[in-house]
Amino acid sequence: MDLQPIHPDPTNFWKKYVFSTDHKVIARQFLWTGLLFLALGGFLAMVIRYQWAFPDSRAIGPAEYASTFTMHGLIMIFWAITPALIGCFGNLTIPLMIGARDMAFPLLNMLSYWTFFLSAVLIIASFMVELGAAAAGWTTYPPLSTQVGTPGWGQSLVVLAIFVTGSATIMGSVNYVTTVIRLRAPGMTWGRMPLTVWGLWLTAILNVLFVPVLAAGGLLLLLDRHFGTEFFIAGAAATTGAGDPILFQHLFWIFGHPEVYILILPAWGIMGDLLSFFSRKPAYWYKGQVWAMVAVTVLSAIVYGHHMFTTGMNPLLGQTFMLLTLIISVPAELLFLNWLHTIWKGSIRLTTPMLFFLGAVFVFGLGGLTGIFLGTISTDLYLHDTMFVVGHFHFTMAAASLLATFAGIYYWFPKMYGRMMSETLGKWHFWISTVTITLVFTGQMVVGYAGQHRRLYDPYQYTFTAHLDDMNFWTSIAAFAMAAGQIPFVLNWFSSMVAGRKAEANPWQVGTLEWTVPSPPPHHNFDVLPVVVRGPHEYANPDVRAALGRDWIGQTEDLPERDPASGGTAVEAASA
Amino acid sequence: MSAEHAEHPALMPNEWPEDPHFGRATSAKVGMWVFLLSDAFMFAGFLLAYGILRGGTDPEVGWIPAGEPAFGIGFTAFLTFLLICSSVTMVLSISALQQNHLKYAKFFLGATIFGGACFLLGQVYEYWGFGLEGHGLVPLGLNFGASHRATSFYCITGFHGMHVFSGVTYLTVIFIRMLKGKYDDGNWNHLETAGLFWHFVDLVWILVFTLVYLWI
Amino acid sequence: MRPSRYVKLLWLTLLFSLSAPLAWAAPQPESGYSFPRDASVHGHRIDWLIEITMVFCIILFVIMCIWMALAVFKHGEDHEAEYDHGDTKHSMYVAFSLSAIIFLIVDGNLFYWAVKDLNEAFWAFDDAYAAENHLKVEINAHQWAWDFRYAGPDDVFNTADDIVTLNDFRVPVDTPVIVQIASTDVLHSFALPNFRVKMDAVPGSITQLWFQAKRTGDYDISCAQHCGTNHYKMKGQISVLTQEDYDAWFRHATRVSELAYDPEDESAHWGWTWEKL
Ligand code: HEA
Ligand code: HEA
Ligand code: CUA
Ligand SMILES: [Cu+2]
Repeated sequence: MDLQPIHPDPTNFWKKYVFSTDHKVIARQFLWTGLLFLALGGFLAMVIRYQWAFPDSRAIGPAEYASTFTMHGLIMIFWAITPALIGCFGNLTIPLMIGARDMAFPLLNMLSYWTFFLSAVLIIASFMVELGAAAAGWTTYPPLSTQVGTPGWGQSLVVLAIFVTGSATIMGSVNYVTTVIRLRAPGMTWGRMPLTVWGLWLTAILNVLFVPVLAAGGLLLLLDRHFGTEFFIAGAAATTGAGDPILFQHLFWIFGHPEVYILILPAWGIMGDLLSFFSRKPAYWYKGQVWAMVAVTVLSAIVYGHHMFTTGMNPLLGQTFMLLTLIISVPAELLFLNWLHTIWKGSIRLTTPMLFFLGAVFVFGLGGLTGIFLGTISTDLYLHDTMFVVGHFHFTMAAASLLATFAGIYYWFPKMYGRMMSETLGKWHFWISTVTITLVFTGQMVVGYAGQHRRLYDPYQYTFTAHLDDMNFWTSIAAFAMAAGQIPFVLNWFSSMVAGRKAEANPWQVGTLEWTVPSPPPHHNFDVLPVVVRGPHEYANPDVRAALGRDWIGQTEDLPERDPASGGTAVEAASA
Repeated sequence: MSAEHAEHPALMPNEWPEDPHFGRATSAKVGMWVFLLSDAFMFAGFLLAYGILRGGTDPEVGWIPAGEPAFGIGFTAFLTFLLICSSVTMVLSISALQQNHLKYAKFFLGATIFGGACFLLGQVYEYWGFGLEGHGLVPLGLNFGASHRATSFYCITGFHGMHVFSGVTYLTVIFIRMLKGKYDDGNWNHLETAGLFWHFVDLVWILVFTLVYLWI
Repeated sequence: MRPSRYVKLLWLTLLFSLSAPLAWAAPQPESGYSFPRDASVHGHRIDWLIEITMVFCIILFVIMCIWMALAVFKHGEDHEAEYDHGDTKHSMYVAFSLSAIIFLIVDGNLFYWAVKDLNEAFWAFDDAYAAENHLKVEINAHQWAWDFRYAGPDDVFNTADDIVTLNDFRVPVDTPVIVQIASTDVLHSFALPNFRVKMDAVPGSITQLWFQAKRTGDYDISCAQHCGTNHYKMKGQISVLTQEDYDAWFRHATRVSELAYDPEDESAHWGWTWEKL
């Protein structure tokens, strides 16, 4: 006998698609918004690359250029990757994967999206005011970001938009944290949670704790801009007492460093799961991966000083931050080794999502390794504020997180829209994107290694960088190719949505809970409450093969044949 | 899927069957705790800014500019006492509801709201002095934007005051629901969650009082 | 070949095998894709540390690539996956020790040398002060230029005989130069890529760095911190002169400065009393 649906489906159009409290609808709303902003951020990136390829064209002036990279960075981080990777996948997968019928606070969830939407309106509006949008860099360092350096409403609107989107993030994250603590289905113990949920949960914790610090900094900055205070203004520009510009950097990076792990933890979690699913092999050392992610989460709170090595910080403090920064590479290496072990001796299915995950592992290797260079004060004396830093963070978050986002889209598209995406177009998308993205960001690293500083309207002003125009030109060409390479994706996205092959409930043959319900799932997700009996990664188990004739078994499935003599099966022993 | 679970009646998403690993807390309570952690970090951001600015003042100039009024520590100590009392009545209200003494629950909740409202009034008086000669920090010349001391004072106590205001509003909503008989069945979950928020506001005030008023 | 060449070659062949037309390493100065020409006594420490780390990282990266390629090509669909949760004592032990080894070698090396280099060179201000002939210069950064102030013959800052220049920084070769940096408007960062040092200019406080030139010539001063519209143009020149040339310039500049000195012009007196930080 089936359970009745717990909350009846909405019938009214507005409640169903617009002001919906259904986590699956909100997930899609976040995804759409995120992709549109990804396109906008990508367009701004092309403007940057165009300027560096043709510095003499004077298509834009230096002031517009400053706005361009500032808005590119902010939009990509807060309005593209955050909604797509965290807003979409978090909403979609957390309830489905832990066996819940919705988020713990569905109304708050809806509010979170619409608050985010408001911030999106603000950020678009900032482009339209006099003097243009924000131009103080995504880090928004004062005094440049106060009226001293960037007068006009653009900068204020952007800071306000960050504040508003921060509120949306906090609402969402309170929801994620609570949902995972409270709404796991019977039997879904911490040790049986998919790594995806672990990654998203840890991300939500970091968001809950550190976004408020940025919010505090942003509020003080707004006071400085419009209410005559001088928290961050000093030097000759200050009229009353002396504020402290470095104070803002503390507040910013206390948030900012966790933020970069916020953007990678969900990707790590998803990678840990999916590498296993598509290698048809258990995730290697599940517990180790969980602990590594927990360790990174904890450590991420205490390394932020490595962004401020050249501000003249106290040497002892600097050395402490240096050591902690280097230590954070241990859990990262552990994770990495576990992924490599997961795919080793598997039975790898090179589907589009898998390809994107392998690509993400590859570029994360590059990004993570280049992070180590920046971790000491002495190497940072040379590398700080060069394109080497820019290359480092593009490899980690613009390549690894972005490719993981694409992978997630291909993987969960059937669950979201009930149709499969085209594998052919998907593979085109993968190969073009991964090759060109590697070239673009390697190009950034190389010019950075040669000394080119960041945020330069015309980087060839200096004698030591004048000869880098060729390299930058070819990097730009690769970037344009990267943008062109998104055409297969856009085609795929729209054509699959209307005319893709209908997806069955479990097209990838995996055992996590979201694939036990139809694609797309009914409004209430589960007709009956699932009872979880094992972990998410039971692949290639000989007992399962013997009993069921397939290489996987769902998290809720009982193994039909038991051998009472040996006290249960190997599956149960493994998931115990 | 085993049949045993089909016996459960229709459930709201936050009313899953008991499972040992869930613990006893309701979703609302867990959510409130998470939110309070978040809020605590925002206060931490402000207090950190205050601490760094204050720690970095030039000893020759000093933190307190000439002519700025001192904070009324005695009066604020009284407000602090008031707030602590309102936390106590909050506890009493919850435990009254738990024991189904509705009358007492209403009384103590009303007292809590009253305490909070008095605190707010006290703050208004502290800021503006109700127009009395020689009272109120603003009339006495503690001007927002004039010095770090003044600005951070208004930011931090103002931000806290906003919390007290939200708390009073929140408790009032619960109070009205209680008067309407919504909790006659003895369900004290809502009250307890609101109480968490109230205790948090109280706790933060003790920190603010110590750091802003007592640090001279 | 110098060891750095090998590194450069590895860089280029590995990371640029995909864009072959670009993969050439032209000789210094200022044309290949390696560091700008090193004109300082201590810069090689940083170069070496970056290069050796690069070698380690390339090794790790190559292992990673081979591992992934083998896994994908050898263990494709036809291969039967191994049932292994990787949570035996043995496999945990292997994973842990591998990470520990990588950490101890790569990060340990970085940490050890970074601390050593900082204490022996980049933070060794006491040594710089101890040198008989050290030179002190005050720098004022503002949108979008650098002001330099030399104490002049009396060796006291902010007096009438100070030499003040704009975007023109002259130092004698083989002399420790200690600079203190201030900013009047927004953040800047005083960067000398050819000397491998940089330090932020922070409004409201004074920061410092020191370096010692080993080779005469003209090099760029660059602003590394975004400071507004013309950040990209905030360029200065540092000229490393022989001691004789420097002395000659110094005498000449002192005379010019004395002539140009205007006691009424408040804004020209931005200097400060030098104190050891
Ligand atoms: C997703 C984002 C992300 C991630 C994951 C990281 C990861 C790391 N980052 Fe990065 N970082 C950023 C995003 C990110 N960073 C951003 C956005 C900035 C600049 C912001 C700005 O200024 O605008 C920045 C800047 C930045 C700086 C400041 C530089 C400067 O401004 O001068 C530093 C300095 O220490 C640093 C260090 C590190 C380190 C040590 C890691 C470590 O976590 C890396 C750990 C990973 C590994 C160590 C690699 C894995 C291991 C292998 C590949 C080995 C495997 C091989 C075998 C087993 C054989 N980062
Ligand atoms: C996650 C964040 C992220 C992402 C994804 C990117 C992506 C890219 N970035 Fe960006 N970047 C930053 C974060 C990011 N960046 C940050 C934080 C800064 C620092 C800013 C600062 O200094 O203040 C920066 C700065 C920065 C610079 C340095 C500017 C300077 O210092 O002066 C450059 C230069 O090359 C650059 C280039 C690129 C390129 C070519 C891409 C490409 O990968 C972009 C490719 C993407 C597209 C072409 C879009 C494709 C569109 C779709 C897929 C949408 C489809 C839509 C539907 C289906 C509806 N970026
Ligand atoms: Cu000054 Cu950039
Ligand atoms: Cu960081």
